[in-house]
Amino acid sequence: MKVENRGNEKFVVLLEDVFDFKRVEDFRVAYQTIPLDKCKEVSIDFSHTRYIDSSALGMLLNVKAYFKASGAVVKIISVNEQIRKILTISRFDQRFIIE
Amino acid sequence: MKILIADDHAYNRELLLFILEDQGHQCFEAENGRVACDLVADNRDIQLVLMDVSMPVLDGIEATRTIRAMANDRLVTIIFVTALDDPSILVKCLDAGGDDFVPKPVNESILLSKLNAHARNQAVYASLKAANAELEYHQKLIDREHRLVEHIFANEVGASETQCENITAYTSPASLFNGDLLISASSPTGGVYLLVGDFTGHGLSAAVGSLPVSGIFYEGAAKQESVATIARAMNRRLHRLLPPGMFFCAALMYLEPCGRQVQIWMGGMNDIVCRPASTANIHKLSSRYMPLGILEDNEFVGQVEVLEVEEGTCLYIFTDGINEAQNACGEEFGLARVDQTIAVGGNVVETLVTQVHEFTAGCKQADDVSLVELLCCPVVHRMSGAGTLVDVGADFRQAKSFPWQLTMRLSAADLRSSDVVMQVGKFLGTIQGVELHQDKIFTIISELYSNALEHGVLRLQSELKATPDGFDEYYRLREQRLASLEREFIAIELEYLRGDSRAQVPNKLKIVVHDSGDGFDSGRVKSSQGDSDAPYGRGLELLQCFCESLTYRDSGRTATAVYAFA
Repeated sequence: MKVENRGNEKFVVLLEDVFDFKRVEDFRVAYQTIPLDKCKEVSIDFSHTRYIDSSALGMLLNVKAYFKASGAVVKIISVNEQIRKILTISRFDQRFIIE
Repeated sequence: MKILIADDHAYNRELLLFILEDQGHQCFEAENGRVACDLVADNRDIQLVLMDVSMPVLDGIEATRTIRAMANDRLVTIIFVTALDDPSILVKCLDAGGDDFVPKPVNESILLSKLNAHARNQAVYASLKAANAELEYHQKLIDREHRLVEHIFANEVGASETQCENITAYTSPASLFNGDLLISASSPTGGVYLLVGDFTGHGLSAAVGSLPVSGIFYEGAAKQESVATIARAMNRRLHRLLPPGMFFCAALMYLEPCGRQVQIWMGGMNDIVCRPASTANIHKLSSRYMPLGILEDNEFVGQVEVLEVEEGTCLYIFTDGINEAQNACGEEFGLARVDQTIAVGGNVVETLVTQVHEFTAGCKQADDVSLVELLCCPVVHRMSGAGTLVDVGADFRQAKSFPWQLTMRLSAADLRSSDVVMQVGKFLGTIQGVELHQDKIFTIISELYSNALEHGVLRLQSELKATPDGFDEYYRLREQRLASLEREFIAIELEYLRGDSRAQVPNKLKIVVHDSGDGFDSGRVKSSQGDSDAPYGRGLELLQCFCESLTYRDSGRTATAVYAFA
């Protein structure tokens, strides 16, 4: 799991092929390295991710809650059809910007 | 210069011969028109004829006509040598194809001046001829190269094996190559992807970008990638390839197999016009983004619009070649006319194309023109060429496996391994027909297993996950309790149930997960969790969506899920 600073106060968290309960700790550590006062936008990049489970949904809500106070936008980007379906079933499309 | 002297008087011929050979010209002699014609025919390098008018056998005027008729691919200058006293004869000489006159008796300096003047014309003619030959050669070369490139375009851009009945399309390039791109491809699940786009400009330079774009399109469709992912990949490639100032306006869409949902990404295109099945009230979807190839990857916005439509709704996508088509007065066809025709309905594509043709009657087509109707109803595909109906989603729905059963009993040591589910999922993925469903099956097994392990065996409470700290705590406890497990186990049973395609019963996979602990009390989970912000309790909802049936018995210790390959 990698965090990239794309400049302009935009950050990307790049996930691996599986995003499930085993990544809870890693994921939290990853997004907490992003400086809250210097961040306007965080993209969670699923371009390499093929599988997620329901704990992934919890992690996404957690990251959103973490950045809520500072007003940074949390985006979900490059999801495949399957993951998009899972996100839609859970109505995440109404809660997140999914690209 | 090679010169032919035609005169029946030997004395006249000798006089001219004397003057010309003195100047270094090479001369032929003919004593009548017939001999003159034969000599011109036999000696292709004769460039000039000095022609007497009256000769026996064939006179000079007839001989001139004959030479003109047979040597029209050569420049043979014919100068009549005559006493300039009868205007009607002079006219006849010119009408027969003569170029000039030299008065008799011949004055040496006038003759030589005339020869020099005609020699200059001959030189201009020769250089024009050479330039023309070179142009012809290059034209042939370009034609050949265009045919080669056309072949590549036809194979790459028109590579789809199937045609979709939901799509009615018209495209017409302004020149040999199309800067508009209009392609569709079936998805593995039976839906259809559609791309309508317009590169800046037209002709070969515009068309060349369609090669990488169509490659990305077909690959993405075969992998059932999301419209956003495909659009992003195209943008990245085009941004790198295209020169500044050149870009690709595009509408990229995916119609689900059921025909009720469309996903759309649009940049720089005309509004898509939507005509619902039940009313003539058209409405429009606007492009929200920049055309492809302009923005850097990190500036690119790949958000997709998801459109839920009633069956029978038609979407119309067209390039600006339609609305910007001009008539003889320079007036544009305009969007209002397009809207009007779509609102009327019927065979819209044909009607609109006819209208544009009639509107622009007599004018040269200035830009590439493309127009597509996408009918939102269950998607039907036909084989390209043969035209037979084809069920492209068949492999996806009918996992053609033999019946099999797989059982496993996972004891404490196995449960401690964190990738049990991944291993089972990957294993199933190797079975013929299951692969396309691997992702969903992974989700199902993963959720059933997590419930059995965390709630059944490890007796963890979901509510703990309500806060971010609790969320972490939950997974710490999970590790802790796993470590001290001894006699507990989880049994997984997988069974492939063969369906009956004639009775439309799909093949199915039965998944039974049993735990030795307290079980999972599904009744306690509220089904409306999806609307809350709680970061837990979403697994059951996913299961219910993906499974044909899901039942718990034995106080929640045994969960049975049935997944249909449909």
